[in-house]
Amino acid sequence: MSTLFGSLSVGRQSLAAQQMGLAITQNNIANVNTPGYARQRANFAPGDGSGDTAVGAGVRLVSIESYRSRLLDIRVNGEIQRQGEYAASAEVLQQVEAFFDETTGTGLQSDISTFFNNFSSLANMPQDAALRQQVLAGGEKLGMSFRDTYEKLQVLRTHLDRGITEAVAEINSITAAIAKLNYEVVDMRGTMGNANSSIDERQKLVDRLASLVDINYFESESGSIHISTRQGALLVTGTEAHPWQVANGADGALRILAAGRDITDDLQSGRLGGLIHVRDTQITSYLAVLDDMAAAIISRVNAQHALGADAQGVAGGNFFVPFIGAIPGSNQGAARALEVAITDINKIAAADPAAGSGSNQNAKAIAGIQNELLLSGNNATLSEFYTHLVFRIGLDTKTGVDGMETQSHLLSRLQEQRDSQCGVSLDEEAINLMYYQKAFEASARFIALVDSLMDDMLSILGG
Amino acid sequence: MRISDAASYQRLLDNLNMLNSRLETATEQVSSGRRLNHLHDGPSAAAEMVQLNGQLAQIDQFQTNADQSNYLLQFSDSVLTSVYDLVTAIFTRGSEAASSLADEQSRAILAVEIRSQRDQILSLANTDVQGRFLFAGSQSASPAFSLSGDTAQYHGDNVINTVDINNGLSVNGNIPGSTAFQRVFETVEQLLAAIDAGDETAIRSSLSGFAGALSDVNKVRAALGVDLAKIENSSLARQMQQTSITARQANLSNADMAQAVTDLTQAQTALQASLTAGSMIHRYNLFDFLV
Repeated sequence: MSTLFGSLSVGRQSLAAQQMGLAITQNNIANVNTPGYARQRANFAPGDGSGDTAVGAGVRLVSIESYRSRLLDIRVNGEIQRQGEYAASAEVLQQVEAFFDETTGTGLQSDISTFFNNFSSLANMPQDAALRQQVLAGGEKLGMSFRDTYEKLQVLRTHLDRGITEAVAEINSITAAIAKLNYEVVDMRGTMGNANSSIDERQKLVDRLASLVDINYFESESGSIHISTRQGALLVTGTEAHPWQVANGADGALRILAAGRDITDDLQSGRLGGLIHVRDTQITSYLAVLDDMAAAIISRVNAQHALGADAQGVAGGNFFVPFIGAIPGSNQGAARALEVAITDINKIAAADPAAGSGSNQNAKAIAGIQNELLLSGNNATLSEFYTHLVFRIGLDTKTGVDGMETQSHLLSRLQEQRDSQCGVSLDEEAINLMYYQKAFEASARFIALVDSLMDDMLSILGG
Repeated sequence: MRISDAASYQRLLDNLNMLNSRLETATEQVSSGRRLNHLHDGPSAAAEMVQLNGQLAQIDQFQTNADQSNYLLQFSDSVLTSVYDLVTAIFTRGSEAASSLADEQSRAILAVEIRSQRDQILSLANTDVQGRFLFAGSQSASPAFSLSGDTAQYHGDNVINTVDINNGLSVNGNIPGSTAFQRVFETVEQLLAAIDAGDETAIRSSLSGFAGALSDVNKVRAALGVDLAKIENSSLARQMQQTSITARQANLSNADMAQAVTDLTQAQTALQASLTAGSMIHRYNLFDFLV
């Protein structure tokens, strides 16, 4: 059985509830532009009355709920990882392809052609000093182009190491922040507080972490999240962050250590995975192609040059400085070592040693090297081998650039989907505002009515 | 579908970004006239460009070789023409000396004339181009022939430098003096000895050697003619190769202007429309109508 005082109490609860609704609406509006914010709503429940004829005891606020979709969060997170990977490889490879400017015919191919064709020119006039000079100049230019391209790729690798260091530092600062937020979420839940804003902030950081490295994460019952890489290297367990280290590897390239274990080769995605893939797989293979080409040029040209006789009829010496690799049987470093060994134009061995210095036989033979199947197990000419490199660089870059574009479309759609569930709509909030305002007004009027009823009662009593 | 405010702004931004990037690609193509500005614009086209550039450079080189050989062979041919004329002139003088009407004095005058013409042949046999003696084989740094008395001595060798003028096609770049001049000098030497001795029979028999000497010169000229024809005939092939490679390159790298301009206009229109729509859509929301 309800009493007037009881009605007042119901009115008070109602006022408080509508006010809370207004406050939540206000908070949603305030965060309309906050990245990662998920809109919140008040969950009300009717207060229970007692006895069979009870009319209920007003309204009570049960919880403030945040519209998070765990499923979409995880999908978005996964796509962010690949987006980071493609973006890193596109960014680096676009610099690499600029070193191989073959679309305008000014790249390495033109130096290779010029080098061999200069020998063909010399074959027209084997004793001509100007043509001999041209042969030397062509050799020097060829060496310079190889060394220069090799150097540029090496410098780029050093820059990549810097990028890797920065990414690891950022990962460490993010995991530390997530560990702290884990503590706050668990703590607030323990004291029945509202952890929604910490969860939003934490999800934003998890997304940022995903753009850097491939991660798996799950939420424990206590509300904290555990993060590790897909290959199992720990990042965050509960309230504890596991910072990573970088250290110089055997070849001077940076390695990434988690708890002292080298995990560099395990990282597959995210910006860090992308940078490591470009550095250790792609650029390394491009350098190897240049090395193989340079080694083939050095050894084959030197061998043919030695078969000829120079302007004085002396047997030809080395045209290029012979390459002696640091690692036996490996061509590593040959492109950096491609350099003409002779300075005297008369030392160019253009002639057949059995004939006079006017013979052009050896110059012609050296010019013919450009058509010999020197590479890929005697299956490809220098030019064909190089063509394959150009194709690979173009394709790798295209994969990165296209991947980045596709990924960003995909991510946009997913984020839109997530936003349509979690994001704030001002129209909707305006309606909520009216909704709570009207309810508040009605409750206030109800309290005024109860007040007037009480006045009536008191006037009867006071007579 | 529920649309959040942030999402609608984000979508507008995404669309503008996409249109701007399309506009940039179209602008780059129109302004450079090229479709292949980066390797990633067409990896296989870029790779083919590399191969074509290499081939084109080699054909250009064959063309240079052909031009150079053409020049040297024409030059040699004109030298040999003069030699032929001189040998014929010497034969005429020799025939005069063989006549029973010729006396010792007139034979002496003829001998002087013949020696002078022989010296001219020697000078032609020692023709050099930029210090390179054309008829000395591979010993081209020094003169091909020298005279001691009336005896000519060959200092060169029989080496013939071949020059590539296309894939698998080459011409002889020089004529060793031994094949062109040796018999000429020997025949003239015999003639002079006979005239000096006033031996009519010997003069007659030495004159019979001239047919062989002239035939040597002609054979060499015929071989030269064959090589010159080879150069001439292969020139069309080289030109066609050059044309087809250049056309293929243009095909690979040049932008289709009509298409590029259409793309540019489309991207511009779309961007403009998107901007206008964006500015209109975001002007109002429900709050504008609440008092």
